[in-house]
Amino acid sequence: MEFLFLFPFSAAVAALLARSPGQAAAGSILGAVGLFACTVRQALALPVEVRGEFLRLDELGAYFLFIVAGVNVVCSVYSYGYFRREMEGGHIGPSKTRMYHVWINLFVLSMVLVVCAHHLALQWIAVEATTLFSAPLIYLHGDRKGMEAAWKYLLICSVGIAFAFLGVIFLSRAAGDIPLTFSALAAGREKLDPRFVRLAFLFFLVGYGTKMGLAPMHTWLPDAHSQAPAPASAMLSGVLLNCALLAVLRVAPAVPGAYASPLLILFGIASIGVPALLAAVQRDLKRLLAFSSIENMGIIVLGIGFGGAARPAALLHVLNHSIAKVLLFLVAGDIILRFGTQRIQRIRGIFRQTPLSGFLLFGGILAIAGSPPFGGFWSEFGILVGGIAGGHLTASLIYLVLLAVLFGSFLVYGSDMAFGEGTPRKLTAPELWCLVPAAALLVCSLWLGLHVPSGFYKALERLSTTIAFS
Amino acid sequence: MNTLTVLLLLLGIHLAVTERIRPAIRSLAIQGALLSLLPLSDSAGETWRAATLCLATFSVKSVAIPVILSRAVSKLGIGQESEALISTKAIVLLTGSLALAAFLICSRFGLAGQELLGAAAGLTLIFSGLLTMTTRVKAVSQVIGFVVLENGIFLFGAASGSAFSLPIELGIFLDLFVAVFLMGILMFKIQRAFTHMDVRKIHTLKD
Repeated sequence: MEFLFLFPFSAAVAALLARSPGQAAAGSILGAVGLFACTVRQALALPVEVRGEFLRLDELGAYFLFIVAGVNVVCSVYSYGYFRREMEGGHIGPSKTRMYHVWINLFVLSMVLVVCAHHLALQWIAVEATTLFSAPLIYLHGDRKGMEAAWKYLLICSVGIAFAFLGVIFLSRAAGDIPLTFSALAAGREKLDPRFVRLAFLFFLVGYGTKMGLAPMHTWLPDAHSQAPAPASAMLSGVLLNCALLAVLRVAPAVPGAYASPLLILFGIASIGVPALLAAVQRDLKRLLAFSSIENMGIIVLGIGFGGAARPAALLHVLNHSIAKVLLFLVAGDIILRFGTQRIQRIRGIFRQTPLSGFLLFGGILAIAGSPPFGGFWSEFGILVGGIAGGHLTASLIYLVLLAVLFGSFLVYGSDMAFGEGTPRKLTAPELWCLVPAAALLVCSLWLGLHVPSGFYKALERLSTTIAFS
Repeated sequence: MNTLTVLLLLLGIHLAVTERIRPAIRSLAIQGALLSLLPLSDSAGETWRAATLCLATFSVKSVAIPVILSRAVSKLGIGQESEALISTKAIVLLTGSLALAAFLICSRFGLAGQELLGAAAGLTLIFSGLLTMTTRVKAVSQVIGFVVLENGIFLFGAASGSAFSLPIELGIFLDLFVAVFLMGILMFKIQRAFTHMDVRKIHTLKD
């Protein structure tokens, strides 16, 4: 387990000492590959690895860690090409590029800690640390918009996390003499004071939900995710939101389902509904993607709230969303650099200029909108089936309608950008370092759409019992 | 313990209603110093643990954070007035009603005596911190509101007897300190880029 922390930490130190941005990027790639290799090795050796009282890597943690490490590999490769382009364009200097690699690796380190933390308060510290290490990434360029976004992010998420700490206090009150480790809380759930458990869960959901981007606490998210550099946006959207979700899931076994499920369904529907209303009027490509993250977090929370067969589907959707969203942010980053704008209206006819970029963008849009043959279709469908089977007919119907609305607006945007008329001028050539990682993600999404390995789905079903409400 | 709590509550009310920034920072520093005495008043704990926590609280909440904030005020040439969106009268009324609500909520949960006072005072600070963050327009006032909110949570936690092991408590302090430090850095950068610190005017990002 020590190596899980060692690799991102060394990569951050290497980036700090590096003489050129290229060296820093190489350090990031090596660190990311090392972390991924360790994650796989750990995952094969599971069920559980324990380090002292506070650190523990169980299967649920390993699943989330696998997504963090995988996305980190893809993004670190991408960031080499992306920042080379940005430096050529004069958008960013070499020292800021180097600092990007320092912060992104510390950010990964804090996410590894979120995943491995086995104590309520340590988990809180780790989630707050993710905010602190990712805020400098948002204002990396040092422009006014970036600072505005970082200010909102820091302030709103810090208040959110403060609420989550109230949750920790309430749960410690409910627990009495029971230690605040997740296994002890799950084992002693009969002895917890139910009044304080309910309060605690509400505060966890609002607090970590702020970090997760659940509506109505989502206001900072479109700003932050649209202002960060593309690989950082991809990490924020693709894995940080998952970490906040994990923080909520960890306390689930201590909470009565009859109380938690309606809350989750409510927040889920709200978080799908707000983007469904606002996606149709978006003008900025990265903001559009950010709203889609809010929507997908809503879908996952809704699936967890439905329970039963929807829960493993929700866990699968965590992976599907990460793959598709990271893919889209990576492709969008390349496209935005080449068009010189984030405005959707000015991005037209990518497919004619560079078929690969157009193909990846349109494929990514289909994948995130939950269209077959991509993975997102099955997980969204599974959540719907689980919801109907669980007797949540009204919520399932609303879910279906909202998904259809979102599918429509995404399809319009996607086809306009990929195939629409326009773009008078010739674009620069695409950056292969940027497109190859994105293409790899599209293949993953397609693979999960055509065939979910049965062993993998069985593992998800097993995991979903560990996060069942009491 | 009760005297401490009452003093913390009074300082919190002063912080909520004062129209000037420097006195607010001074109150914040005193509040931090008082908070650092809380671990000592808990006689059950080990002495060295209480002493470490006292030292950590004092250095972060009573020295580091007020220093960051007052440096920001003097270097950035922020005016003395902490302008608000609503009148001072309204803030006074709101703070009073929030304090009342905090006491009612805590007694509904069956708390009594010293515990009730501590928890309700903590909750009042949390509410008034949120009020400051939402009604004051200067960035530095929002940070002050955030620290008051954190102080409230600290008091609330102490009153409801939640205690963690020392490394975790220190981790919490480190997080809080870095958060305020980062907010301070951002304030400098925002001032340089926008040439003002009025968050009403920072709204280029919207749908």
